[in-house]
Amino acid sequence: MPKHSNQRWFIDPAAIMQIKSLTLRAKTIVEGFTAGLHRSPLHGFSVEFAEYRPYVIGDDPRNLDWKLLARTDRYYVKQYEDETNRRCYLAIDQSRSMAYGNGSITKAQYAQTLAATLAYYLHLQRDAIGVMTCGTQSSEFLPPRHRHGHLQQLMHLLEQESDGRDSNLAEGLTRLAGLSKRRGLVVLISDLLTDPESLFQPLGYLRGRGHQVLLLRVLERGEIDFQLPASSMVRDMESGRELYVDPEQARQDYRRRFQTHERQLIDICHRRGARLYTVTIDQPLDMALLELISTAGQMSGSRPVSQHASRQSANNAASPQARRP
Amino acid sequence: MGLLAPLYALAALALAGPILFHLIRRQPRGEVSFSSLMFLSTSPPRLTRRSRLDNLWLLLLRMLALLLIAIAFMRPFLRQDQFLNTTLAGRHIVLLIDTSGSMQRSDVWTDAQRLATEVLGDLSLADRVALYSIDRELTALLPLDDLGNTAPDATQHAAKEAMLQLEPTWQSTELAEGLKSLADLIVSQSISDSLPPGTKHEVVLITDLHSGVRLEGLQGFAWPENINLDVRQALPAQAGNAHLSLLQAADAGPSQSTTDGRPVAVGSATAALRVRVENDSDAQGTTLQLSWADADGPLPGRATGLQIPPGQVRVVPLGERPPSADRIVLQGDAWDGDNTLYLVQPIRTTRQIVFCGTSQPLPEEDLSYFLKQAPLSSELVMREVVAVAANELPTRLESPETCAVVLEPTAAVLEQSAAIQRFADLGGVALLCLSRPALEDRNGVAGMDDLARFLRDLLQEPNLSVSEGATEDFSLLAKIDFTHPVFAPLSDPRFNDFSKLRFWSHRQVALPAESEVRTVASFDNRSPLLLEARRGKGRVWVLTAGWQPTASNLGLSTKFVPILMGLVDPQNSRRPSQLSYAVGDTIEVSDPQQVVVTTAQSEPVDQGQVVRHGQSIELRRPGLFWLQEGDVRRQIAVQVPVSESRLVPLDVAQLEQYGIAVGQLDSDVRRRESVRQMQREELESKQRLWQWLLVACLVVLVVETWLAGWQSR
Repeated sequence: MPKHSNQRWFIDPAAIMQIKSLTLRAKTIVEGFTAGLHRSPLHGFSVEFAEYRPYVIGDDPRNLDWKLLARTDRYYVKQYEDETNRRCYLAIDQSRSMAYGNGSITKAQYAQTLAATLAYYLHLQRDAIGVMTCGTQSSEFLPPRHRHGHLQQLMHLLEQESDGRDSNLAEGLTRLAGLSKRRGLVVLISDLLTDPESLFQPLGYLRGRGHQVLLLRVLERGEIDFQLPASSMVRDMESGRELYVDPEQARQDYRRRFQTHERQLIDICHRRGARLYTVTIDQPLDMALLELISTAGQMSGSRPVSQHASRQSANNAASPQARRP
Repeated sequence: MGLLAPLYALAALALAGPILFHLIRRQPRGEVSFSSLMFLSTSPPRLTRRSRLDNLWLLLLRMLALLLIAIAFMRPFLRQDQFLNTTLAGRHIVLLIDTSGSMQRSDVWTDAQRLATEVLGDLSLADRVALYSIDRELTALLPLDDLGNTAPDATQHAAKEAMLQLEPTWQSTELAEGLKSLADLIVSQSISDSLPPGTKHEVVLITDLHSGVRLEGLQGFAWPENINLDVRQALPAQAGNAHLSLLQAADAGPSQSTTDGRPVAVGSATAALRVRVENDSDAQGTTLQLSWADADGPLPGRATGLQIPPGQVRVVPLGERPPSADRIVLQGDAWDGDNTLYLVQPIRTTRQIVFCGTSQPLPEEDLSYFLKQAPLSSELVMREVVAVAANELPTRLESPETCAVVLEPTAAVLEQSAAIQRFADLGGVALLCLSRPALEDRNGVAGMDDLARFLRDLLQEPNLSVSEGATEDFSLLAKIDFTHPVFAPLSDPRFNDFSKLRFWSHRQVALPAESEVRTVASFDNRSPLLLEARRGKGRVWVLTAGWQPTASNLGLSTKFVPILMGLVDPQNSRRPSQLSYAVGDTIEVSDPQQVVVTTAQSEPVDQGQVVRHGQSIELRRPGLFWLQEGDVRRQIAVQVPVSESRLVPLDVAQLEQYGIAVGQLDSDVRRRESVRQMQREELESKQRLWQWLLVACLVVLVVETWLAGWQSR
């Protein structure tokens, strides 16, 4: 496992942003990331056997294990995993505030690349990936699929320029909750510069649908500790409102309010059973991906069978008798 | 150096502006975009910690420009004392004080006196003051024509003393007439003083100017343009007044009214009384109380509560008058002065009309038939017709003051000649109606010779002769003396058409050319119809035609009753018919100097309250009074004029609608100040220093612009 402190193991985000093609960028990161893993992600999944249970009247006779009936003269029904492929919904915040950056890259570029990387990684795992853009007047939704050309379509959608102004994440998430028919993993990539309370209800909708929710917060370091060079008029990127700010006077206050906001976010995520993970745009992307995958792995504990764990259990299921009653 | 508009010095406060702007450091260096302002709040502009002013020269120039503009607006000028001498000519000021009944409100009168003192205090030592009061008429207290001969301060002193001694009366306000008279007085005085035309005159009117003041009289009056009227309105502490008036009971006969419209307060004892109560539109309260009262105050248990919203009228039936009550009192409004309505118990006298004559088979042919039908009674005099036989005449005719006699010349009547003559001598009124042709022994009518003899004795005219009048068809009245009291009421052109009166038969009485007997009316054949002869204290009428339908249509005519009234009761028009008056109304009496006026409690009235004229008197305060004329004693009620009860204050601008020049009288200080101001303005407009100041300001601004540009390079 790579360590966070060891920067040279990871690729500099500014350097990776030099690659123009989003697909290539994602591929570079994922392949670099998987080079250190023992197991290749290129292995696919199969339909998984779960267990036997006695036949009761009303069961479909097609599910009877005829071979077992022939062998033991008892009626058993084979049970399988309901769905083995994970559905992942990527919700990308495209509001104007995401256009803020550190000069070399913006939060939006970072979020775009992160989303593409994640999508590519999951695509390699044969998971179905859907994308929804939030924070624009015309949010777009690409339902999760795993088919030929879907990844290109997805990359194309992510590459589109945003025309958003005021991010209305709550509305976007509520809409996603309505559109997602089957449960899966919802990853929201946003700076979450909005009223935390407004997220409480949409997160509830998503959790109510059975989704696992991961909030991936992308920030610029200047937003955390508020660094401005001198007294100046500060213009809100979303509303266009202007404010005269003296950084020396405002810094303490800003930090205090920012931390309060963060605490509120953590609290709401805790109450709704969602995970919050904050990355800054100077962090390497593959490190962020690693964090993400490990977080997703922890979260999948709530599911009956996780993706990696199911692969192992598939091997164990070779002898059904072991679980026979 | 003087300043014309020193208040503009406040504009110099604007100098603080540039200093503040120079101290404030708020120069954002460009604009920075930030993802969200949700964690930021605006920082207040800061002054530099060192409090040091930068760009001192620029600051000074800007302040100098502002200062120059401020000074230019103050319009400075250089004083030149020879221009600023003020000597004011003295004025003639007429102080006119309303002393009508509504000024009896103590707070209003106090306010009026305060206003008058204020006016007198504001005058300069050179001003002369004339003082007049106005109520029902204009009264000169310090007349205009004496002013020229008196020292100014003496007139002011005298005016102040007279004003302090002045007291309000109870009379109505004839403001329009008063103002007109005063304007005429001022104009005639200025002509007699040979003042140049257009000389300004000042009149200060101190009044409460309420809605009862009749200003309509000013309509059409050309108010002199050079008379300025300053109206100072004295107002009560508490607005709103209610007043009451008596409505005649339905069965009390024809209504009478005083001269200003308030119905009389006769109030017969048995009839149910109705009272009209009106609450002024500016009244504060709505709860009023009406009660019967006597001299000691309201009678217990006889009060009626009323709820009258402001501006509304209620008619209240009060029922029969309690025996001891002599007034109705209203309680609960702002002013109690006009709240008493005095009631008089009428004394009805009875007069008999004794008729003695023939009796006819047809009742309408009887003279007494029309006599009895005629409505001769009035509210104060009851007249009853009594038909008697001739032999009863001597006993009936013993009291000539209380009866009149109507006679037909029957033989039996002629026999009572002595009794009739004595009756007339003692002051009785006898009407001899020659109603039928004098045929011997027919219907008992006396013969012509007897009749002539009777008439000669009665009229004391020995050369009189009587014959049957020659009438072809009918006779008309040709000559009527309309100056005679009998026909005077009918002298108006609406009533003086006698051409429809026709006489089919009449007697002809021939009088000598110079006779004491007066012919009041005569036929077209010059034969007299009505003769009047004075005899002793009484008088004798001879009517040469009857009023029964076969003789004439006089009895059916509308003129019958007034003529008959004049004949049988010649004193009637002189007898007072009125029992209730307003303060200031003329009360007709036979001998004003001998009339004794006492109050209801028989106490003598202060002589100042009784004004005696040639044929009448006036009473100057409300109340119940007894008038004693010889043996006759009668009670009258004197009410507060109803116009003095309508007390909603009028707007002074209403006087302007009648073309009166209303304006404020300038006090001495203000006059001096305005003259000085005019002189200053003149001086300033000659010097025009403000223009130079503005030029200097422009120069400073040019330098400032240049300096600012140079520094920013």
